[in-house]
Amino acid sequence: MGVNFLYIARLFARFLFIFILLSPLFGATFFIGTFSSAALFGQIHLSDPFAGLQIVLSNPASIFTSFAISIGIVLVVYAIIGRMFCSWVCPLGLLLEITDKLFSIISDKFPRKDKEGFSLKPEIRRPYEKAVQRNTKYVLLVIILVVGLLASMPVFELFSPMAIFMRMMIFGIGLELMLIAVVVISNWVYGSANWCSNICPLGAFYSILGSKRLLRIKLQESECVQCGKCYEQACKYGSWILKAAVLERDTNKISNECTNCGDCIAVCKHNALGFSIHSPIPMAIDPKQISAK
Amino acid sequence: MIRLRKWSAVILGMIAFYFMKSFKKTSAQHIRPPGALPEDEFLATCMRCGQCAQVCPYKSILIADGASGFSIGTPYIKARSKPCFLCKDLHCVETCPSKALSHVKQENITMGTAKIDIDNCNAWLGDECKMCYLSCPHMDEAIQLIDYKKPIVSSESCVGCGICEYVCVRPTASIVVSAHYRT
Repeated sequence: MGVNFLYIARLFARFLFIFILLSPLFGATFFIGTFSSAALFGQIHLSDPFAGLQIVLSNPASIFTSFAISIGIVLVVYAIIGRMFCSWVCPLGLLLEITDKLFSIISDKFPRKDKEGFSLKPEIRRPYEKAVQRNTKYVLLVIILVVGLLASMPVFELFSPMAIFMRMMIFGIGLELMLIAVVVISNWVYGSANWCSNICPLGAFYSILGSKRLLRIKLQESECVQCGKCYEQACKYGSWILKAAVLERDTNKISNECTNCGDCIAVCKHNALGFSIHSPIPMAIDPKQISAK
Repeated sequence: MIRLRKWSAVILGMIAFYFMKSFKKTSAQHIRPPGALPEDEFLATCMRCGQCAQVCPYKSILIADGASGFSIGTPYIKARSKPCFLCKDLHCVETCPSKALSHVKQENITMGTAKIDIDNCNAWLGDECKMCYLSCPHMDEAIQLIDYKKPIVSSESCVGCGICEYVCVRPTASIVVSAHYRT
């Protein structure tokens, strides 16, 4: 496989965003706030659409122009790039990626034994993939919005391990460290990336936002040999994201839960996968037909 | 390994339970930064992004952690360790994205009210001390002197910045700011 350029770029981006997040601690002022809401250069305000939606639901009086604009900018960006925040920015995602890696190394070192005492083949650690489990996040999303509306409280901003992790890094560690520990341990118990792909309501919200996203992973049906490497090994957010598309040779079947992380592109030896801009308006002349001629 | 997983699930549940229990505690009334909405509305509107704490030039604003229940992530001021110095620009109010801290004028700020414990106050016990009186930003209005000596607080003019509590020379502050119950 050699040097996995996209993977390195993604890790670099993640550390860069953490550095940006922590930059006020070193006295820089170009980024103030957390990824819930931030001010760039003291001028441009950006707010997380999900947090904004909760605030608007819990206190409808808080809608006004500058707040709406700060949400709107991010909303448009997320509608274009989909759920990219999860794999390129999210600080908790980086922590979980590291701990998941550690856990998989540990379970490789101490493999499970069967009844006779022979060690079994080390399993590939995957999140649970039944539809019930991966729809948990949508159920949670609805519960959070309804409870937030009834209790007039931005519920997820209280409990979100992502927001808690960011605040912990900037403002110091408190009791809420427990919740991060719970998430990390639950990833160990229920398979890697369990939080990100099955539970996180923020990811669910971004999935819905990104259902018409422009930047997508494109599967070139003619190149694909259906070896299954991309969805069985590479995609850490679960095999259902790519499986249907690969097996049915249809690039449109890629789930909108795809985070555009690009791990599958790096693993594909047949160059069947790549980033592409998906046009929202169907083109008058299909470029494929031209190339066929 | 399977047994280990089961046990860790049990431990997980216990940790989660402990965490939820700590959340059930009613949150203590914090002193909010200038211009904060009434407490209920504030909890509904605050985005918990922490911008106000980061822009504060004196680093007076702290962010509540998990021990303070539903107030987790919200800004508050601990006057004894660092009060609000009522800076001219009120950066915290300016930067607040959801206007949980809304625009106020310098003199209309109401964060809380100071209260003097006269049994613990140097001036009331007979010593010469005018620390709170002299450092009060609304001198002779918020803190007045009886007989040119004993300080009293006028609750109408006091903005609750907490500078008096900060400068009080007693080992435990004899003048303490408590948050307004603006409901």
